[in-house]
Amino acid sequence: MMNKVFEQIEWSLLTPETTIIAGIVLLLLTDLVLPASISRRWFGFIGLASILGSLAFVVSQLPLKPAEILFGTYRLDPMSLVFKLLFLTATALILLVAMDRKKGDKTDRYIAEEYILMLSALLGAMFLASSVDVITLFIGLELLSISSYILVGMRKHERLSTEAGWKYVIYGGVSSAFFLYGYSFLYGLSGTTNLFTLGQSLAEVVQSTQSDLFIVASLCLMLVGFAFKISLAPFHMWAPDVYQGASSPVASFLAVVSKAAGILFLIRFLLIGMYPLLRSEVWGENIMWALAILAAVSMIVGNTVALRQQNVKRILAYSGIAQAGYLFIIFPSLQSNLIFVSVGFYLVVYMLMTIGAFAIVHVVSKDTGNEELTSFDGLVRRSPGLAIAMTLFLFSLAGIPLTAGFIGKVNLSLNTFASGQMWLLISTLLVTTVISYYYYFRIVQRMFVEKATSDQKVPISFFSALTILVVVLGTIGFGIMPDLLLSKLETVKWGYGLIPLEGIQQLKN
Amino acid sequence: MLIASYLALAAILFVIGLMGVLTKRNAVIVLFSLELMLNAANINLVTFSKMGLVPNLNGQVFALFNVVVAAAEAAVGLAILFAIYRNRETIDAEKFNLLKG
Amino acid sequence: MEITGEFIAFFILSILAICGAVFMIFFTNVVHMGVSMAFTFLSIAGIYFLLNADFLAVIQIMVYTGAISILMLFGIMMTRHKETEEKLNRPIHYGLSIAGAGVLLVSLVLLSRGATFVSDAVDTKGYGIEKIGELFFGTYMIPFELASILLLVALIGSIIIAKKEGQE
Repeated sequence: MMNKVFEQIEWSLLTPETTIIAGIVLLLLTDLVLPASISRRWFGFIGLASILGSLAFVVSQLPLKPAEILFGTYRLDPMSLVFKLLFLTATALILLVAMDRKKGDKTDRYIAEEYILMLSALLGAMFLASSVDVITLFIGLELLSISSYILVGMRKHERLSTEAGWKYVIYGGVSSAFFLYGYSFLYGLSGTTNLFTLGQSLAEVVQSTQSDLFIVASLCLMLVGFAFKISLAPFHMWAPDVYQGASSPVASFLAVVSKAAGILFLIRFLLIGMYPLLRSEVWGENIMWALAILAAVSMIVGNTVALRQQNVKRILAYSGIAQAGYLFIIFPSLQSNLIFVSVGFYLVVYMLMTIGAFAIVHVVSKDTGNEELTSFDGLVRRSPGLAIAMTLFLFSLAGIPLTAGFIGKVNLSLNTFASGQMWLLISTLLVTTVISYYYYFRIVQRMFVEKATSDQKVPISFFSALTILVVVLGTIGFGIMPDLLLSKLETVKWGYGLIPLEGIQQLKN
Repeated sequence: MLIASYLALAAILFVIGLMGVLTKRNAVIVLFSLELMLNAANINLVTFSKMGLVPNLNGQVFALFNVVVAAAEAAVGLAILFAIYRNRETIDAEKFNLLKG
Repeated sequence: MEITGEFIAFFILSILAICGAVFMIFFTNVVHMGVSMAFTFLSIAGIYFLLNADFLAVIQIMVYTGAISILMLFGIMMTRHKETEEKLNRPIHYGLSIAGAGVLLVSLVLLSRGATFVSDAVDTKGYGIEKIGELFFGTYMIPFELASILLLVALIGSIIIAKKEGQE
């Protein structure tokens, strides 16, 4: 009987993930076999190769035929494909930045492990992207999280790094516990871990039994868990500390991949498992208010607390909290299908500008030895290219016209505006955006006005320069010609990610 | 036996675990408390797998997965704790305060 | 409520579990805290037996009462620590934590009391290890494989972080 199960499964669907696993194994074995005296700096290419291979396999799955393995514990649909592309591209870019290392860096001893952990975190995110079963979603998220804990804490000579790792483990563990505890009640009501079945049974349960309180409680507990993972205020306190303690490439990984994975988890959970509730009037409004409050508080806290930060990574962390808030203004108006286009566009843009900004912080802090604001003093006189690129990323994060960040923000606000009465959120977005200009410009002012501490060029490796160039092109390109990306995203059949497989087949006929 | 008693037990353990995470100073005990929170979630899952609206084994399987995750988390947490201890000779969670602002 | 064997067993086990956890909060000696937590984990295993989760109960004893408790005790012993634990020096944080936890506790216990919708009589004959195995290697094969990678990652990570430097 078992053999039959194996034979019926289309294992070829898993090729992108398998490629990553192959990369991990190859790195492990090469590290083991190679004598200790040989430099391991080129190991990044193995990682890069497996990511590019995986990317090729993902692309080769186009045109997409939605499919499932084993009751949705693995699932391939347009939504998962888009997110996988996002995760893979982001990790490839971050890996390129991570390969730019100082000579004789103490962490070089564990260079193989560092790349392995990045790949395994990516693997977790990819599995999370392609599942509609809570167990796979959860294990994928935990694989991502545990790899990230280690990545944050692995520079063990630095007090800040280990402390950041510790905080991340504890906050991450608490958020997992909240999520699980909350989900256990839903399991009690539905007896399933499949999101579609969960949605169906909740629809019945809500009508027939007095279980409202349980659903409210589990929703609240799970939202706490999600808000931790996505670093939405008031559950954001770990993010600045962790970003500051982690190395810059790892911090950008957390800011981009972890956050996007959390958002995808939340989208699937709310729009599949909670769908019957969202459609009912009483429930829909309550859930939307909860999300709206999270979004508003994140925008306000992120943008105001960033004002008094002195460390660039902390500023970027608070900026990331605010960006998550911007993204969330669209969730309360869940009706329209346009939201996916806006969310997708914003995530891509956010990925570009965040990776770019962190890459420059990495390059600069490698030279000056810290990430304080002062290390950016007079950057324009030392490396004008870097200073201009950084300015571009900061403008994009702030949402100044002609950058991709502006288009993304306008797109989000317009679609929110079109679909509901959440004008309060939009005005919060406008006001906090204006506040945010202050701290973004503070960095720009440092780079252009202050005197430089040295007159030497900031050394930069070919790969960092390449990444920054790619990201700059993206930020400007999508700012001037957003249709390039928007038209692509509009052709994606996002809705297929939210309905069962049979539903898709019916739609096609 | 009423399901409410099992759920109440899990709730009490969950909250005690949360208390421990928030207020304990010895970092090992903080990790311990975290495990207690995950255990409370497991009790809930197992209870519902016997007495839920749709009782089945999925809950127990989920609980087993959680044991795996919790063990991995504990191992990583303890390893990081040792690294911290080597750096500064203390595991007093209140002194982990270099990162702030 | 009629008094059955299950009731008595549950009563004793839950008292043990809660006492262990509460003592963990109020003990001042760190080693005592660890041992009392081990008792809590053991009692939770007993609770699993009551709930027909025999396999999980055994795993609970092996992983939590055995491995994790010992690991934590090693953690306590191998690090220098104050024999007795002092209270946090941050009164506001402390007060807020207690207040928050108290509110959460009351609401969760009240919530549990409302759980009247459930079926009490269930056929648990099929709750054996065979069924669990079939689920693991059937429906949940993919997360199971993923969990193995997770353990590998945790292994690699713990080794590189905890390893002492300066010796090859």
